[in-house]
Amino acid sequence: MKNKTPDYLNEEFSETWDLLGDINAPELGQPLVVDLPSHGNLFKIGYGFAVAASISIGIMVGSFGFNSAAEPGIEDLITGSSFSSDAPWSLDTAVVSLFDGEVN
Amino acid sequence: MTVTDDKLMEQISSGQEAAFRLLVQRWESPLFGFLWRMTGSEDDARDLCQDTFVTVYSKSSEYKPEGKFKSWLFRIAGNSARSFLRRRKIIGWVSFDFAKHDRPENSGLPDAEVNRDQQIQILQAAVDKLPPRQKQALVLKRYQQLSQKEVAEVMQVSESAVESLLVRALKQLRKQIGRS
Repeated sequence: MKNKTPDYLNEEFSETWDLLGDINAPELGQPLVVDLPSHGNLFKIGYGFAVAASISIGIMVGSFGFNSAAEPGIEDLITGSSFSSDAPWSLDTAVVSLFDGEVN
Repeated sequence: MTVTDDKLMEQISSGQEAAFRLLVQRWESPLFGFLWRMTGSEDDARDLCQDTFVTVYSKSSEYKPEGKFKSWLFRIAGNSARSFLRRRKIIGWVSFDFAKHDRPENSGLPDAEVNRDQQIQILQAAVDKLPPRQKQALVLKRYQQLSQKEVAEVMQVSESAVESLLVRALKQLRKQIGRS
């Protein structure tokens, strides 16, 4: 591919410039088929997001309710603040149980 | 009489998909060539072509018909290609098609013994390793036949900055083919 070296480039680059012309790009081959996002597709995507978001929120709310009612939360596990002596299990007992070889 | 790119863009913004198909047909080859030279991969070049045309379609209402469609198109494509190269660098994945073939990095042979084919292979590998902005300036100037001013418009830099990018790129390439 012939293309004159730009004037501002020194002659020292003319060989490199010429050699670059011998790097041939492949042909495109099959014509490009561009998939445009149609309104229908956008609606489907939006609907999918809405359903996914609803399910996620449902799971989060459900698990929060479950944890707060019956199980200690992760903060409680770390601080141990909300455990009573008769709590079903705690971080301490869990660790001790592990050392004892029990699965609590 | 050929419909101008500006006219086609006007028709596309009013929802005429036939105008869009015509525009794709007109620009797919040069765009593919540019993106192949930027990425070195036919598959990646096709994907980026696709992305570029989708962007052209979705931003058609923002296009200002000032007779600079080519610059606008290559700016979108260049930005996509540079983002792609950054991502590829981050994940350390080299997918250069011609990297699959054995090629001499720098054979250490005296200059006279390195034939033209080898020089071209070395040069090709060296182009791949150029920083993305240098590569973009070089490809636009050398292969897309853009003027200095057009390259500056595409890259949104001054003409002297383009000159600087080209000189740095060529120095690097020249060094790689053993002409330092």
